[in-house]
Amino acid sequence: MATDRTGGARATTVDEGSRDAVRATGVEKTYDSRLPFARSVEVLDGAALRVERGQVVGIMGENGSGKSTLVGILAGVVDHDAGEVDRAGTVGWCPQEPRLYDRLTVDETFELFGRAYGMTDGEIAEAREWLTDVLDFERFRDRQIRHLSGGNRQKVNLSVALMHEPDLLLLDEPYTGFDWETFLAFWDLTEELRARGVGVAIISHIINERDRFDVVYELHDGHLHRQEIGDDDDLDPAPTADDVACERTASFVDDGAGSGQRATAGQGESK
Amino acid sequence: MSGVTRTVAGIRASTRSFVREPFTVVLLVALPALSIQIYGVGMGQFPDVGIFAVSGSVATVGRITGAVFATGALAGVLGLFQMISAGYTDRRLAICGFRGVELVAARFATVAVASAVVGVVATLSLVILVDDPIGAPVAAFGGLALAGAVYGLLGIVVGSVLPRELEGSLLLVILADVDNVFASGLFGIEENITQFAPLAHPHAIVTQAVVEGSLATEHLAPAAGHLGVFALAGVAVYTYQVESGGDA
Repeated sequence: MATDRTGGARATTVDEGSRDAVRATGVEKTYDSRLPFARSVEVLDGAALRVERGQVVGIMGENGSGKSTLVGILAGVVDHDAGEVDRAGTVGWCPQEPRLYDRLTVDETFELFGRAYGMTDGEIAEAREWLTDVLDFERFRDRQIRHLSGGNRQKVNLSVALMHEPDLLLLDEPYTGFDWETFLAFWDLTEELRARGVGVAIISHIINERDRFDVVYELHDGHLHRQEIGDDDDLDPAPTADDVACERTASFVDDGAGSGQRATAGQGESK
Repeated sequence: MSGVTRTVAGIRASTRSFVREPFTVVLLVALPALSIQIYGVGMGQFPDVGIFAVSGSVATVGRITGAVFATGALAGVLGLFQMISAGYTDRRLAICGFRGVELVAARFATVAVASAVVGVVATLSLVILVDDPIGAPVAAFGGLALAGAVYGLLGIVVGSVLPRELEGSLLLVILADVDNVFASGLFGIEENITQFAPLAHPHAIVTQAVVEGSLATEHLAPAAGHLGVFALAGVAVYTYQVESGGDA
C-alpha cells in the first residue's frame, strides 16, 4: 500500500488486485472546539464501510449524524482522528454545497477542474459535451455559476466530480434541486458508471430509492450499520417525482415526543 | 508541464473572478481619491509651524499618507476577501489535483493585479490633487504598488488564519492605519522602530518621489524584504490550509 496525497497519513491506496474501491475501518472523528468550555462533538466512533468496484452504496442517517463528515473523510478532504481509509484509483467528490468559483462560466469551470485532473483540451471538451448533454444544461455553458439556478449549479457540481471518469465516486446529496427528468437521468448515469466498474457512494435522504442501491449503510450514533439490499427484500416502491421534490424537507417527522421518527419521503407535507 | 498549465489555469480563473466583481473594481478606483483628499484637507488644517517632522508641506504629506493608507488597506481587504470567497473552492481543487503552491500563485497574481490597479489610481489622484507637480510619478506608483502588494499578502495571511469578513477587515484596516501613522514620520518616532512597519519603506519611496522627485533607492531592499517575508508567510499558511486535511 502506498500513502495517498489526500486524506492524511492514514489514507492509503487499496492493493491492485482488490475489488474494493474504498475501504474504511475503525474511523473515528471528533470535532473539538477551539474555544475553552465549549463541548466537543463526537461524530464517528469506529465506523467501517466498504464500496466495491461496480457497486452503488447508499449512506443514510438523520441530519447531523455525520454523513457528510464520513464522505469528506473518504474523499480525503476531512482529517480523521483514528482508523484506516484505503482507496483505489482516482476519486470524484461531489460535496453537498457546490465549491465552485461563482464568477466563472460553466465552460471555464470545466476547464479549471479539467486542468486540476491533468486532462487535455480534447478530453475536457469531450467530458463537457457528454455531461452537459446527459444532465441537460448545454444551453447554460456560457453563463456564470452565480447566475445559474440551484438545480443547474448542482448539475455543474456533479459534473466536475465526474468529468475525469473516476474509479470511486463520492456524492453528498447529489440531486438536491434536480427536476424529475434530471433525477432519472442521474440514475441512468449511475447505472452506466456501475457497469463500467466505478464504485459509487451516495448520501441520500430518499428512503424509497433503497432498491437502487446494492448496499445501504445507516449511520447512527457514530456507527455504520450495513444492510444488503437483495432481490427478495420487502422494498418500498420506486421513488416518484414528489419524493424528489420533498427530499430536503421530509426526511424526518417529529412524533411529538422528540424522537425524530423517520418518515418516507413520499409522506412529507407536500403530499 | 502540467504544473505550469495548472498554475496558468488557476491564475486565469482567479483574475477573471476579480475583474468580474464590478463593485470591488469601483471601490478600488473611487476610494483612493477620497482617502487622499480627506487626509490632505484634514492635515492641511494644521498650521505649518513644525509640529510635524515632515520634509514637504503638511497637506502634501497628508495626501501621500492618505494614498498609502488607501492602497494598503484596500489591497489587504481584497486579499482577505478572496481568501474567504475562494477558500472552499481551492480546497476542492487541491483534492482534484492542484498543488498548494499553484493555488497560492493564483492568489498572488490577483493581489498583484489589484495592487497595480489601485497603485495607478492612487498615483493619478496624487498627480491631480497635490499642489506641486510630482517629479517622479513612476517611482510614486512603484511605492504605492509595493504598499498594495505588502498588504495584499498580509490580507492572504490574515484570511488564512482568521477567515472572517468583519473581524479580518477591521484588523487589516486598523493595522494599516496604525502602520501608516508610524510610517508617515509625522510624529518623529524613532526610525529604528518605524523601519519595521510594513508601510514604512513604501511610504518613504512615495514621499521622496512626490516631494523630491527622485527614487529612494535605499528603501527598495527593505521593502522587498517585507514583501518576501509576507509572501513566504502566505505560501506557508495557505499551502498548509489547502493541502492538509481539515474540518472543511
